[in-house]
Amino acid sequence: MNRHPRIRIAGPILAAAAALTIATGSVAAHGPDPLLGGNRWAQDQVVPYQWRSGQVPPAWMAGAIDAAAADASVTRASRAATFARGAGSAASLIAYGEPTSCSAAGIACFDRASAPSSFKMWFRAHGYVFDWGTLRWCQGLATIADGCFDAETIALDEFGHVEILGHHANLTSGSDYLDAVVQTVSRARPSTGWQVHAFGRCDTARLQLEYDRPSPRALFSSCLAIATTTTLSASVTSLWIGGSTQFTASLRTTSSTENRSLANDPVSGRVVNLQRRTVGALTWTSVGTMAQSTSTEGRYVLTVSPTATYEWRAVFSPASGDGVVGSSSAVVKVTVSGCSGSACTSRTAP
Amino acid sequence: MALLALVGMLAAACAAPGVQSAEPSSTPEPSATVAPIPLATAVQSPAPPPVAEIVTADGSVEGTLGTYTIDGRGSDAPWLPFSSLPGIDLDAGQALTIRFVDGVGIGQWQLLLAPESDTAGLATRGVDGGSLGPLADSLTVGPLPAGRWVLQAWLFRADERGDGLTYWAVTVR
Repeated sequence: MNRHPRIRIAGPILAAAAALTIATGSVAAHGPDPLLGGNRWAQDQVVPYQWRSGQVPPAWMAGAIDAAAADASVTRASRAATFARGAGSAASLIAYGEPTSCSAAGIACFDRASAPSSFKMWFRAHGYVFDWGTLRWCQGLATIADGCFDAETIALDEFGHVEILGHHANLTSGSDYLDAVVQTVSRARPSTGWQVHAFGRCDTARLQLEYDRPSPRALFSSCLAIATTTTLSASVTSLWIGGSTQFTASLRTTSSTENRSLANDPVSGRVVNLQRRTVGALTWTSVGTMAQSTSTEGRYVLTVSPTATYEWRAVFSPASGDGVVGSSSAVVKVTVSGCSGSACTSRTAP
Repeated sequence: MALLALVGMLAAACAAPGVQSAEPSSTPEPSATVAPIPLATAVQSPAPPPVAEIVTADGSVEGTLGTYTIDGRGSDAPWLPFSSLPGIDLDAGQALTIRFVDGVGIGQWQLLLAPESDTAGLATRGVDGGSLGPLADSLTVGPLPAGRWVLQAWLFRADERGDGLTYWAVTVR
């Protein structure tokens, strides 16, 4: 039964309203979570929180919230802030029960307007009666039942907001719901995604864009397609037969502003192949995999002793699940010459 | 001309999905500590929750606001079932017009329908089409298929201060 009065719409008014239109703006689905307004936290900032006085959650809820804070910290795949319940002096407050700042239909809500100093978070109490039904937190039930909400999942969603994540835009079918915890629609047991204790790949994509990856070797979220640039140089570009040259490749993300905090980052621990071709030929031959430099991030080296003049390039092909786009260097030509007599004492051609 | 210019500006604003600022990218080295960088959100008076309404011949029908964000604050809600929502009857073939209650411009949007029996929003379908009015302050969609539906309208404010999901119970005869 509908408890609200039904209204009938008149067509002519709507037809007139539609007379002049522009067609644009449908939400772009299946990318990194959108960005919320406000300041970022510092990279790896530890943000302590405490319970709001008079609104301390019961033990089962406190455990779920603390677990979600740990989930956020462990699964951020980035240098986003971490959260931990701290001393009573912590400026960030989490509250359980009324009053809250949540919408009339909301089961949990947040306020990150004071970042990077503090945040606030609220959870409706178990048993709260909404127009849509009665709230049941799964952790608050003696026997778990369908229709309950997993408090740890919902709290992780809220911590995602506090980080700076907006709601993920799913495909209209919702088939990509598991790509993000920070969702527009909170799901109850047993619907897909009702219990998720790790950020999804499109959550971490935005966290990486805003806070960078934890290290140059870390994978990029597969919800991203970060462009890279590969450069190549040779220690010697003209040598006698029998001589050697060291090729050095540099692999970085591009400096595009779209890459945000990931821009111009060195990319280490990847497979970069050295290839050669006869001058002017179209077909490339792989010579070997370049070794990761032990001293410089994003640098790869390989020493070779070419027997003829070739053109060389370095090629980065990302592994499956790494959210970067492959790239190839410009061509470097190394000339190899024959020699006789005393000139051959030097392996480097003049 | 002024109207066309405004439409152009609004259309341009709509063409940047998910990006809230043109902030220069930082290039922190992984081992460095980088201070937080303010995003380009202007300090303004608090905005009201981004709830929407459907325009009718007799006025308007405000929907029920579910999940939303506004100015760094927000609230999360489940799918709202048909029985809990304000209802609207439509004739087959009718379009409908949606706008923010506070009249602010609409940026991006996504419209979903779920049958009345789907109380968790697990069988949604997108509503194709949809177009903004000349001032980008209203969205015209439809006609919707016959049936009893929950209509979820996810509207983003054109000024990028927030977004909200508003729900109605729609019956199309």
